[in-house]
Amino acid sequence: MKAPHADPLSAAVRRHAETADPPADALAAAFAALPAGRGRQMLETALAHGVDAVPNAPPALREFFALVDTPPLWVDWARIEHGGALFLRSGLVGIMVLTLACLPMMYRLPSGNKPLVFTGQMLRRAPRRLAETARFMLETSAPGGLRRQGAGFATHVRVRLMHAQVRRLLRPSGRWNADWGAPVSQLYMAATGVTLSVVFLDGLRRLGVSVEPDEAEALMALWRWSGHLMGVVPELQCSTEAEGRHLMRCLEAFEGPPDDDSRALMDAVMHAPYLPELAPHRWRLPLSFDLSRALIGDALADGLGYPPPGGWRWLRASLVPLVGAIDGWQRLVPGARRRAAERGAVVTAAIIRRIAAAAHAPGPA
Amino acid sequence: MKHDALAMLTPDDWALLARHMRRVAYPRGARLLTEGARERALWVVRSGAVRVERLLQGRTIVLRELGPGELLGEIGFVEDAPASASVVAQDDCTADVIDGDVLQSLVAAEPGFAVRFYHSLAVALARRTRSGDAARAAAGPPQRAARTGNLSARQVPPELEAGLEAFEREMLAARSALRRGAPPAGEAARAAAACDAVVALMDVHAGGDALVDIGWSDLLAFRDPGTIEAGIGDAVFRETFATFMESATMARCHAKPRGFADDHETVALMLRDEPEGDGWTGPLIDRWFLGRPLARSRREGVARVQALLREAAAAHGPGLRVASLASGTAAGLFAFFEQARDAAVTALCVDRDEEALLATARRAEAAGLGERMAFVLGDVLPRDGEALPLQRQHVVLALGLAEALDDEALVALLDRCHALLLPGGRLLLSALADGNPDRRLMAHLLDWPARHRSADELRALFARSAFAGRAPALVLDAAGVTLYADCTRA
Repeated sequence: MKAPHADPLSAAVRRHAETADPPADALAAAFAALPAGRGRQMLETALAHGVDAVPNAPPALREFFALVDTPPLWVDWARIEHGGALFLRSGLVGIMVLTLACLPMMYRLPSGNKPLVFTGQMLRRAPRRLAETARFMLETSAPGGLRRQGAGFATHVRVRLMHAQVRRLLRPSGRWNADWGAPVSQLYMAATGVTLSVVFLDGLRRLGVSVEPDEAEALMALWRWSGHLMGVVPELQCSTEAEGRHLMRCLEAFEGPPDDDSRALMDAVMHAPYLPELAPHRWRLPLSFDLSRALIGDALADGLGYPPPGGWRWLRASLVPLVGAIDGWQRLVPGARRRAAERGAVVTAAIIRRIAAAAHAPGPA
Repeated sequence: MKHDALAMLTPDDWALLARHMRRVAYPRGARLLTEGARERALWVVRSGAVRVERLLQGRTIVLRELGPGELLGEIGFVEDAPASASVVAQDDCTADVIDGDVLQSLVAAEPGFAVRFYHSLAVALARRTRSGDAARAAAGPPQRAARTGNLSARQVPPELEAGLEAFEREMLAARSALRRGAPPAGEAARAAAACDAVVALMDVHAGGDALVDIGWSDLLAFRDPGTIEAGIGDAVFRETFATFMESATMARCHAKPRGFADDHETVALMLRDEPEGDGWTGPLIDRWFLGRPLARSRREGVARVQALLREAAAAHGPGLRVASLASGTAAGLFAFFEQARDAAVTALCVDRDEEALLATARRAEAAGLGERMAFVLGDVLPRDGEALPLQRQHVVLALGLAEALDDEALVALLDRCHALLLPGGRLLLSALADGNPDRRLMAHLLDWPARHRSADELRALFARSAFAGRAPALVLDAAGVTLYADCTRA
């Protein structure tokens, strides 16, 4: 981790880098003391029917659900679902931005990427990780997804507890370096939310999608509520794009440049066989690198070890008018955006299924 | 038992007792009390020492020694049953005695005295019971929790499942071949390779990054690394148990008929190194196990003790006194005496396992060592501040003990050994090394929970004990299983 500056802001950032998620950590500890399967059973019962339906619920379970069951007063469901619709209507373009802009921004943070590269096996799970991230975004963005009984709400709770369990695996391993802060720290969780909101918006715009101001703020509201469910403390939750950009700058200043693990992760992402039908095509890799470079900028692309700009560097510029035209048409035709969101959800789900199937398929002999 | 056994008596009560006691002198060897006799009396040793001994299967076994101020006979008085042990004057001694009838009269005539007398006995008995329970709980090796619930189904690595299936196939093939008359040598190699592969599977999947990967494969199972390791061990145990239990030595380690894995008979099997087992493959698996580092280490230990005693005898000259704590088979002692039949060395074997002590005593008598080896039945660790009173020694052997003791108990043992040694005396202590190649085999296949320690940990424990300032010389045996600490008392 980059050496801390003397200013109070850096000290605050460092504090969040060393802080985890006490309620989730306590619940994971309680579940770890039970036989395999019992904790998950309790969790699923609490998610489906409420914590009162769990027989002999441990105190940590009750305390956890007391925090997530009731949304704060600033939660505006109409705005949140408006933000979700933006991701859904982005369809294939959204998946491209997620893969080629958001993931690089997540992996560039040296302290945040350490859990992902802790053992070599994790580098080989890039397709599965992408599928899981995309599914996470789909469930988060679906209408009602983040309401109490929504699939997105349940996924958030599960992922939050998975983060807690990751901490329980990494900390006692003897190889977790204290300089990296807490595994899946507050800082990393906040960074994830900022990446999936601010960076996602930037990516859409760079590919020609027109984002209305109210849509942008609605997306921020969605990811603020998402952050709250994930255990991000209030002082790291961003409610506006400007706040998100400011937090991103603080993180980048604190973390420093991408490291070898950042480059290893991105290399795994780019080379992973997401869709086997595309694998034989030699243009896939150069196209992916060039398009990603166009979305994240030369400085970060070089920092992540991308090859120099190649023959596809004109692609982004070519896509903009096409995407812009489609987007413009959707804006003008009544109901088109709604239908685009519905279609986008179907297309995204199909792509996710395809990637997930490829991730679980047996590898070459 | 000290005066504490009658801790509730007041000074007036003691004065009352003293008025009715008579002082008796006992020459060395005289019997104060005979085992089986119906004699109710209370003794307070005033000078000299007495020993309490029992006849076990024809052999006299010393239970304890008592010195000035110590009390005996109080339980016999209450029970009014035949004496469970004899009391013999260890040297010329004197004791104050009150006959049972006189004591009974006092109890009847002085209600206050009676209440305090019986209250004292009840407290002493309760303390003894609590001490025994606590000692068993605290000083024992870590106990294994349940063998299920430690892994989710998704967390069992496919490579592990494949490896265990391969083991089953290989052992089945070996059995079939032997049944058809194949030469055992070839099948022995096949069986050994298959068994080695099982150990390798545990090494791969039950440690290091593998635990993180396995945990990560199903995070919502909430399995921590320690639980995952146990779960991997459980999976291997369930699939291989029936086969490994064909081996006589492994079966005995697992069954623990004496309550612990390496009892004297189990160790004797390892030392004898003659494979035995059931079925077609039992002897082959036993041969494999007897060739493992753990068994080799036990055999190597005998030579190590023999060498140390030879060195000590040469340095000290005649009159060397050696105590072997938790003596078990005392194989090292016998090996030494076999090579140095005329050595003027006396050995004291201390063990709480009556069967082990008797077996060793019989062997000593058969070898003509009855005059040079003595046997004391008891626990080497002090209980409630009471230590088994033993004569101080030039050499103390504390082998096979450390693995059953937590850190506090091991420091207590080191203190005890220090107190037992004469100035310049030498302690040889063994501990299982943390790099023991058979650690997982012991834990998961033999249900043999044992504490393992690194050299640094052992040094730190010595530094906390009465040996502080005298760093032990630590040597890891060739098998990589046992760390030996050789330390001299200042």
